[in-house]
Amino acid sequence: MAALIDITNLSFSYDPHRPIFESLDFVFHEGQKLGLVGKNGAGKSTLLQLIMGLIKSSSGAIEIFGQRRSTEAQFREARLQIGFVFQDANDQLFCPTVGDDIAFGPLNMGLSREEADKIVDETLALIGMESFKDRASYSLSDGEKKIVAIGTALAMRPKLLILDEPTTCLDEDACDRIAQVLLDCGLPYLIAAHDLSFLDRVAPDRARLIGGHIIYEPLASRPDRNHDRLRVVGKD
Amino acid sequence: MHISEGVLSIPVLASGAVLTVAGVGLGLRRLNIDNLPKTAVMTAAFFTASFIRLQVGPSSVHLMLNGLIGIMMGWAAFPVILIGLLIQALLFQYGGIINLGVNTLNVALPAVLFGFIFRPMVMNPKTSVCSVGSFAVGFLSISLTALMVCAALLLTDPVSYKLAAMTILVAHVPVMFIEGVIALLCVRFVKKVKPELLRDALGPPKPTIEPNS
Amino acid sequence: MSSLKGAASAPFDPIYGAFTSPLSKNDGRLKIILVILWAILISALHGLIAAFGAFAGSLILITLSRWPLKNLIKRLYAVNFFMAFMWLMIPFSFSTPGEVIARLGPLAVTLEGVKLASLITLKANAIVISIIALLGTTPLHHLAAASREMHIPEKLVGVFLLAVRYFQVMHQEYLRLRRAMRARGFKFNLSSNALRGAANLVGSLVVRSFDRAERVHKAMLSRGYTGMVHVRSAFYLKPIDLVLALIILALAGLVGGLEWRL
Repeated sequence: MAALIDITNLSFSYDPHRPIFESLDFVFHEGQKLGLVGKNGAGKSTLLQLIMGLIKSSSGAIEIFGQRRSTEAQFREARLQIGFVFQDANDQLFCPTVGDDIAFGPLNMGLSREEADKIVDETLALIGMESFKDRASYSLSDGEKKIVAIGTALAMRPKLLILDEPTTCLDEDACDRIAQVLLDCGLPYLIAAHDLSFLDRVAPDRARLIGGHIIYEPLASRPDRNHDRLRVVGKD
Repeated sequence: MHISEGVLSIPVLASGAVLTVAGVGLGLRRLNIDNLPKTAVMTAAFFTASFIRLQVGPSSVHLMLNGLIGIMMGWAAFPVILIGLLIQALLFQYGGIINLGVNTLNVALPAVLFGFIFRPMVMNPKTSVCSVGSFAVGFLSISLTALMVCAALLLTDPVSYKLAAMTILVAHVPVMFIEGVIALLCVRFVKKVKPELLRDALGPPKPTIEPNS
Repeated sequence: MSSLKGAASAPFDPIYGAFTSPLSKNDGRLKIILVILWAILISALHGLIAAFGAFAGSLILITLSRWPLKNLIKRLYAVNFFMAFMWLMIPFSFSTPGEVIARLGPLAVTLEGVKLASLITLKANAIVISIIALLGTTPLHHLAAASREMHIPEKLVGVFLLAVRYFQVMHQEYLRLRRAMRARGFKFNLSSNALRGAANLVGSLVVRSFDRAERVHKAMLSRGYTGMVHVRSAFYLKPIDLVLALIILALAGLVGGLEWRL
């Protein structure tokens, strides 16, 4: 399977005395649904932002969709094909209405207003929020905001989704809806999260960021999981 | 202090508008695709902060904080204050739309002027120098604002508005001290937590990320 | 937003307004131009009769907009508070000399003074009411989009849109912080404790806003931000726009006639 993301030998630190990664390698394949776990401060969010080029590292190589990405222009081209969902939905809903936020990505990709509008309607149907098109973001509940945030990423028709802690502070119903959206969207995704039961539902593959490196955890070797209770993913 | 609609004469309104347009033009040069979100979010922050009211006897005083805005943003204080006042006018009908020029000028010009004068003192590592500079920028900015409000009234009608202008000026004296102290304490807080905000909250005027062509 | 005292609360959203007023359907660009010209005319008035005319005109406009009365009155508090102050400052002989028409103890009230105070009160209310009628019936982001089409600089429009959006977020944060402070017995007076608390509150808002701005910027870059905050809106002139323009032109003509002929 082709590698969508291929990172070799990545090093990064905010503080020169405390590197977060040293020679980290990571590969994300087409079709994967991968959960990335690790302690707080291990660097999950940092890694995701490095993949998007929102933070830049001076060492190591990042390849996305088979192309080396190091300049802002190269990352910008990659970003339009990755749907990134940030931890705080409020950071991601910056337009006046839900419809405006969903249209933002497509409009920036050069689509006309009519084409973008069509995508808005399709995306809202996909996430089950058709009646929210002209609603203002501030009037939504946290769960609704998160789903709309995922919608803003889906609207770009990306090749994959990356989600940073999608279920923090959300109730069970919201988590269920998000799980459903992810399972229905048909895209590969990389989720950084703490919520292991959520990951069990949506992401069969697991990787752990520990000690500045990625360790892949096949199903059998995962600590503290009752394997019999794992639902079969993708067969909804 | 925001003057309400219908009070000032056309020449005063027009002059205020022209000067504000010039100030905003200069301020917009400092904005770019890089720092637009920062500018907007800080506009929102200062607008929110202006909701803070302190009880003074039977009434209360809103915080203006224009000195602090001037320190952090320089000429960008003009568009920031313009938009803050515009939102206030549209949402709450404080101030007004036709006198937006005058009201913006009264608040933003002192901000830019004293922000420029006192930034070196505020950035000085010695606490005593910093404290004096911070108090001064808060005190003097609101003082000049009050003076400009008076001037706007007196230029409109030097006879009938004289008492109103003088009353506003005198009423602002305690406010000048309050704003001075608040500015001092705010600077102290920000310096401890994120000192680079004081030097230049918006970052360099040239974008570091090249916008799409 | 019911948490914002002073702004309109239910039955409609003052910011992104789903307010169904007859005037909501009018072209936002036209409303902006008309109300600004009308308000400038009112600002220029010196005659009391013309000011009455302008006030009556503003009442016509607000009636056309079907604005809820209670809400309208709430929105007029700020301007009339200032007017009340001016009524204390202007009508007396020491401010406005002239023919004395009444005495309040040692103070003498003059006709010219009362006329001037009345004039500005009528003007102020006429302008504010007209602006509510015309601009209040357009959602804020459509006003922004209309401005953009009228060649207001993109940077200003972008800052406006984002500032309104994040003001909502911050206002909630501010209320939460203030509630927490109050719950610990904090009083917003002039004590040194209060001043330090207020300063810390401001400082927190500013610092947190900066952090949030960085995150928002990254989110915008992730969706290909190229400098414009897009707003879906469409403006086109319709027959009702012509009607509105004619109404306002007629009112302006009437007021102008009252001012410069009488």
